[in-house]
Amino acid sequence: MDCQEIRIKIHELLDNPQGVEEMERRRVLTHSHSCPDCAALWKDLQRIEMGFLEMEVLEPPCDYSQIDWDELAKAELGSDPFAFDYTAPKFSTWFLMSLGSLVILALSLWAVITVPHWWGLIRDVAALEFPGWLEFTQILTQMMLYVKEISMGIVLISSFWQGALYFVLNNFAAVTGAALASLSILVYLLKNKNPVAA
Amino acid sequence: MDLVSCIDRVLKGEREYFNGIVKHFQGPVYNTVYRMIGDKEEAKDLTQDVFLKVYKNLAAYDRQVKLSTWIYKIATNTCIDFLRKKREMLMDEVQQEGIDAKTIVFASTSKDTSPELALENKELKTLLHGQIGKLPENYKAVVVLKYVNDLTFEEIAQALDQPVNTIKTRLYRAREMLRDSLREIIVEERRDCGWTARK
Repeated sequence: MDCQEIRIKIHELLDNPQGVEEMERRRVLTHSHSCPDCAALWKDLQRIEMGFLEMEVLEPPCDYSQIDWDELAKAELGSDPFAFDYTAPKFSTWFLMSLGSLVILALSLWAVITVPHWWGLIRDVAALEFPGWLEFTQILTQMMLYVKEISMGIVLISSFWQGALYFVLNNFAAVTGAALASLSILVYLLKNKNPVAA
Repeated sequence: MDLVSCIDRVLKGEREYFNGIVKHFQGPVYNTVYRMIGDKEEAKDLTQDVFLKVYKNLAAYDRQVKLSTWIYKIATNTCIDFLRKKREMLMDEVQQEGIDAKTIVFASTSKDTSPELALENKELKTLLHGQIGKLPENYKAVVVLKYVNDLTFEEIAQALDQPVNTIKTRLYRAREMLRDSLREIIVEERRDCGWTARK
């Protein structure tokens, strides 16, 4: 061990004498016997350590527990320190747009799968009233069929999801209604949340 | 009732329970601040600032951290901020008046126990108090938290937001800086004695 290692070991010995192995301790002592610098360091640091441990403990000049901390905090802040204004989280525009698109997509899907005759009726009426739209409605119908195929494919992926999806699709109005009601209640609660403090 | 329950009571509106926390910590906090600042009058006011900060931030207290560690963290940060502001203020004055900066900083950090007084006293603990005041703030905080507040290295690391190894290194350096400065004082004292004797 060189002097630098011994320095570190001396500090470790001061911090936690039990944490240093007996062999290491002996090395420090052996080295210190032959090295006056390390011996002086060891002695000085021991004295400093004793000085630290014997440092005078002062009594506080006053009883701080007699202070009205609430008044002091209110005077400094100008309000109750534990009251805070809660603002409902602001949703970003992209999040709201994505949510809206999802709802529209879900409603369209529901319409295509559960009540296809509605779309047929709309398409026929539109074709009669606006003949130019026929091509457009055909493309739209084709797209809806693709969406239907994809959704049915998803439905068939697993029996669990199949059951769940069928349930959602068969009770779409009820599920959507429940989801919207829950969301409304959540938003209302968040906006009207009371301060924590009494 | 334990101290963490006192916090719950305070947050529920029973504000008088905060006095229990203050009563429990006022001694250690005052000693921490005094050892960090080195001036009794300033320590008295700063201790009040520390408890006011604790009160105002009580709702933000993280239960994962020991209450004492959290309070000492506020205390050391308050002292470090105070010392930095004081030093900046003094540096501004120095720049304005063209006085040697080192002289001013030295005088400001050793108001209670100047080296001259420490030499007259000759007691190691008095000497130490004076010299601790001259350590850099980060080193001083480690020494105070370890020896005044009796915190473990892990708790000090948590209080100062530093890794345990950094805390150990700072303590080792602080000890050796104290040793060097104490040796200098003793050498000066001997030189002065010799000079007086010859005279």
